[in-house]
Amino acid sequence: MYNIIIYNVLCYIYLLCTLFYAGHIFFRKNTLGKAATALTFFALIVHTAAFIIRWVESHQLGIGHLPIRGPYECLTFSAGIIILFYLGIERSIRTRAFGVVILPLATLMMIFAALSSEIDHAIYPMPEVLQGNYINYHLSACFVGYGAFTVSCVASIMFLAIQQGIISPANILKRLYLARETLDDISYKMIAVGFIMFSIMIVTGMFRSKIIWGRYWEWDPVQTWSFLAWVVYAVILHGRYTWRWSGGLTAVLSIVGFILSIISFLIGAGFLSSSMHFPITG
Amino acid sequence: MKKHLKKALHCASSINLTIILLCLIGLLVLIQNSVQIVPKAATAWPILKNLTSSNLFVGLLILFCVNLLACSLTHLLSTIKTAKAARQTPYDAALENMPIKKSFSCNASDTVLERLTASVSRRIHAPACHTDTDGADWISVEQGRFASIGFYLAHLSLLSLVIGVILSTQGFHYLIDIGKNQTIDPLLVVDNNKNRINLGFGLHCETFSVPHQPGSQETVGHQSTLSILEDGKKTRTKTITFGNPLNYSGISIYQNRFSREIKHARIVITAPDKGQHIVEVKNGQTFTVPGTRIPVRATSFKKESLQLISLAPRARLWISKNTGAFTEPDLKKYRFTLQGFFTREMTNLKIIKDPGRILVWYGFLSMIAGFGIMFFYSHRRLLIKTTSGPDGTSIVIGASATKNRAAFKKRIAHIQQDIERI
Repeated sequence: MYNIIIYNVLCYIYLLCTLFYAGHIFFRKNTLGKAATALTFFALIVHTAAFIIRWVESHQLGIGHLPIRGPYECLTFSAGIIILFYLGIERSIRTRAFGVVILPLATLMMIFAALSSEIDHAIYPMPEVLQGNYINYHLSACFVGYGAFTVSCVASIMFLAIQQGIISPANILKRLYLARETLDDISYKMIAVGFIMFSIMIVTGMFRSKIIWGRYWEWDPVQTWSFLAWVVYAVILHGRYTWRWSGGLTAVLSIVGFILSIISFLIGAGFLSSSMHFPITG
Repeated sequence: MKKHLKKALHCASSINLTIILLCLIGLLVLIQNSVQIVPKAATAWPILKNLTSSNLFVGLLILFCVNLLACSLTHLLSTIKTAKAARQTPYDAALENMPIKKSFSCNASDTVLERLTASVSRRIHAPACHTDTDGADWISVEQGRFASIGFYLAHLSLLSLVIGVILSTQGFHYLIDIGKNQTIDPLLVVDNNKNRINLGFGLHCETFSVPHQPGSQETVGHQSTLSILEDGKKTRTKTITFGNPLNYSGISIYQNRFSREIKHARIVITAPDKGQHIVEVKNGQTFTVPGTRIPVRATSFKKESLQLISLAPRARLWISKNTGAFTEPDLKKYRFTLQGFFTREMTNLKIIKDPGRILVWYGFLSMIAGFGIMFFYSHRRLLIKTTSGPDGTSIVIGASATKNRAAFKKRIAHIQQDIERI
């Protein structure tokens, strides 16, 4: 399976990108920064190619489906989405300090997916209950949403670290210092993207739920925790529009929302408690 | 009265209420979920186990819907009011109130207006130009005037989703088993209130299959070829799979994931006229004794026997290979013999009627459109006043943008650079 080889090689490329970003920030080498961006962009292209190859290989096995099934595919897909969002942000804010935090995260996700003994790399058929276009929209919206919320959560953690003086222009982490407004803006934009994706995920899931369980809403643990995360993000967006919420409160709520969405993922993957969602990721 | 109505609308549309309601709904869901995870808590406080079915939760949902409606209504009124006021506001006053403002002057007075128009066209959009009574030239651009529509779409979509989900409970979701070449005519289902409904058409299963993954016994998917019967004639035939239903007169027939092997009993009924009738029944299934209206249920399938229960009049009879008869006067002339058991593979279908489906679909599509417009579409306005004087041309730029003001500011800075280059 070529896709697994490419994904394994990608772990090394992402590791190299992380080192380049760190080198650029901590040794102030501009060339390293440019190389880091170029290499990350290249890695993203390779990542996309690996995703497509895995898709094609699943078709060759006669079980063709979008490769977002099982922890291996979910982790690699989410890592790619995080990198995609990061490159967009880097282009927008024209600084690479954020990359020093985001790149290691995506790299760890890829390495965990590649090395964990708990994670099977083989391509399995999509359970019959999950076949059809709804599930493609449901799963892709779900993991794009997770990617956006992850970036938002990282921006919020950095915001709080700067607010509490953990990262400041005067200490050892001064190179990671970013304007609080910038981090707040990144967090808000990523929440907006994630919120739309989560809404699409919830409603496409409702359509499937009606077919499978006979009701649009079943209060299955995954549905419940996703709904809770959606409520928290809805509160953030309403507060931001109306009361101009920004800063610490939004950052804390964004982290809470991310934790809730991760709980929903862990339940769906069968790590925390039983759920009717288990065949999706298990 | 009008004052009270206004006050009530103000309260109902309050964003504080929205946030409080969202928090309360979230809290109730969290409590229910936590209680379900801990079995001891579920036993100690059974009321907390089904909080989402409680009147409190339904009440909160209704309040949330009222809040959404009121919020959309008040927002609509204020949008119309603002739009009317903006149209009536003179350019000077509008320029004064704009959040982004820049003033500069240019020596080349002849070509400034043309260059400004060209630059605005290139950087933003083709502008409208006009000269006022004082001799000042105005350039104006307005984009995304209807950006606020996203707000209504997003709010009304949630309302539509909630109503659609409530309406869907008035439909039904019924499972049936049907064998190859078997006909069920008329098709009877049981709705959520346990009422028997005749759908007015019949169903015939032409064939069904369970394709397997090449080289393995793993099931890829089930499929059935079904025909709809109207007055005994086939009107429509379709092969259905799990996500690809047969839709007919508001009813969707879905392939369920399981085909089952159902144990059938073959019973021979000998009538008083010595005529023999063969009946095939599943465990628990009821049939009518030929030539009578007496319903009899076949139950308790054992290795070599089963029990027949006459429902009216009430009577029981165990039968096996040996012939038996009821002692009831209406039935005692009939002899029942169990010819044997056999298994028959059936395809399992879901028959779904969902009156709320259209509303849920509308809610979904308008939600995507609404959020898209709300988050990524901005109402932008640009006003440029140029006044020619002996020392050159004075230019005042005013702009407003509901989203991404920084990017709009950048474009305005580019326009300024274009003019200053003259």
